[in-house]
Amino acid sequence: MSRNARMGLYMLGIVVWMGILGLIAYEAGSLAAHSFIGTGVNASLQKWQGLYKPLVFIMASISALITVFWCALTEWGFSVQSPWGVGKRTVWSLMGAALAVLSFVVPYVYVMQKSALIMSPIIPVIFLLLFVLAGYWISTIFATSAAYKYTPLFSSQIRRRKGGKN
Amino acid sequence: MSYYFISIGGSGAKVMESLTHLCAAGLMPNKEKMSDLYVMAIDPDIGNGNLKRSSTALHCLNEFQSLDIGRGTSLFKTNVKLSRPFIWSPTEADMNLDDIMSYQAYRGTSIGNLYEVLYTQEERSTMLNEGFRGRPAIGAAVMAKKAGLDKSNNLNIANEQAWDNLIHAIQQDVKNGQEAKIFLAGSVFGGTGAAGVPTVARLLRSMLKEYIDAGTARIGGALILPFFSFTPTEQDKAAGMYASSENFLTNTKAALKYYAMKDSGYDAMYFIGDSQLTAVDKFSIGAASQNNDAHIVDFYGALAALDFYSEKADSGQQCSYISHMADDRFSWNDLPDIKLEDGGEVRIKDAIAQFARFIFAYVHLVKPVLSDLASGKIKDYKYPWFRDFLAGLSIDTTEVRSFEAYAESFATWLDQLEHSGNNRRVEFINPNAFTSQPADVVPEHFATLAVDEDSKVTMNELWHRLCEGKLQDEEYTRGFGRFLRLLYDSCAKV
Repeated sequence: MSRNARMGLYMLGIVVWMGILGLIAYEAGSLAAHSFIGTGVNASLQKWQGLYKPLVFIMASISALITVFWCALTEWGFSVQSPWGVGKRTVWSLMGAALAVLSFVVPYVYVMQKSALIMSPIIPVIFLLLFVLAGYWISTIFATSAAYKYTPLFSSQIRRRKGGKN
Repeated sequence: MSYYFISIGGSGAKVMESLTHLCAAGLMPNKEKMSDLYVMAIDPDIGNGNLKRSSTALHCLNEFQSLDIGRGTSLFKTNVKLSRPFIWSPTEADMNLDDIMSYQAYRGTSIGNLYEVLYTQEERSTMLNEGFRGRPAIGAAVMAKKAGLDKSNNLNIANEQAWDNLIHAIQQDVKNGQEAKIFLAGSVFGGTGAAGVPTVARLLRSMLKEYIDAGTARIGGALILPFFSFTPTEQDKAAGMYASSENFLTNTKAALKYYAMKDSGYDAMYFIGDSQLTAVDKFSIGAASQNNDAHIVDFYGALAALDFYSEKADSGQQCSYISHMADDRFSWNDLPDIKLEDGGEVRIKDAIAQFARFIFAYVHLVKPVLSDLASGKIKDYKYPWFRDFLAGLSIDTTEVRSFEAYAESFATWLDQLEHSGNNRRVEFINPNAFTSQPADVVPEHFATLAVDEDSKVTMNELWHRLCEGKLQDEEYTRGFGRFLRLLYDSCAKV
């Protein structure tokens, strides 16, 4: 399989994985919602879920986009001309940090738009755990181009077991 | 098949240097790791700069035998064996012609008188530590003195370890059912070469008569004709007897007449010269300062050796002629393909281009990383190929140091070859690819290192291949050799 085709498959895998994480985030959020939406007149889990679902979709999409973008950069974006300036862990870390920040910012901005959605700090935490740690971090460990395969933190411990030679 | 190469004099040493690099690039005709190239040098000037350079490259190549490169590759596929001692000198230290010819014993006799007529006082009294100073008459006398007749009236050299070992190795190979191909290279116009090229061939023919008659040993030779000239300074002239390029053509004419009239002792002869003499900037009478740049003529000398090694014994008598298409340049199209033992052919351009990429990639991408990682200046996660292939290995080994020294010598040789003709261009490697340091490469020109070829192997592509770490055949690959195999395979054109 060509390098480009393999990366294409990895990217597809990232999208599918983020979709799965989105479903988990939806279920986890719904489960957590029992504890904070209360019993008021407007308190309806079904209604809350209706407003929560687009938020999950937005977060999953952002997460997939950033992860795919990182992988695309490692495959086609960065160009190696000398042994200096390789690795790109700063770029990887900044993208992860940006996603972490968005995990908090996006829900609250969304709530400002959709005031009917009751928000709890547990939702951004769920997003952080699922979309940043299980999403971006795990995905980049497996789907980063071989040229930067040990750039994601702890990648060498995991990928070495997969295909390391020494 | 077993291959033998004997360099005679400075020109022979330069052919040996080119052959070393072609051998490293996998251009010998043997199948993988099944043949040896046994190398010996003949030179009275053992400190000769040309010989030292060739010897360094050969010794490095010899070190690489211990690397586990694996099978299925042409890289370092020919084992290099060095004669012990590597250099055989027909003279001893601090001796002049009078000492060697035992003149004092013959003084006043008719032989002594004849000797006085044939050689000038200067020729007789000059110390021969720096060779025969371009005087074939001195060399011929010294070589003839060394080679004497044995009990069976055959020409022989007795009690010389280098010769004993060479003959023993040939005998062993023939007994093991292999054909021994012995190739000699030297000039016909200088001192050592002109004296040694005919003598050594006849000597070998005599010592290996049984095998040569049976067709199990063959002798070939590259006879280098004049291709350079020089002008000694007044200071050089005052330093004593020296070679004179004005005599080269006269010497050559006499030598060629000899070869035309006499039985040369060779089964195949290759005459290689240049109608345009390259001016040598720095004249030297010998020793370390005789360090001439590689020249296209040396390269053709090495190609002659490869042609001889690949030629079938029953190919019959033939006379071939090779030249180059354009008067003002040499290009890849001028070079013949190399015939392999298994009937296949390999293009010189493909082999050298891949090997050059391999060497340049090592110097540009790998060497600085190894050095900085060793000193802890950089983190190894940035270099997946290091973690996968080299982490945990000792980098400070003889093999690694030898490889680095070899890489420098190959790049320098290639650079010199490119600039070897005063009036003609040698267009093998893109000149823009070289920086002021020959072994360093301009990354943008890496894919188009070989002239008229876009290999598509950019530095970036190479990086990806290295990090992917795919080896064609992993069996018998290990350690640093395994990494070199990966690097070499990664440099193959798309």
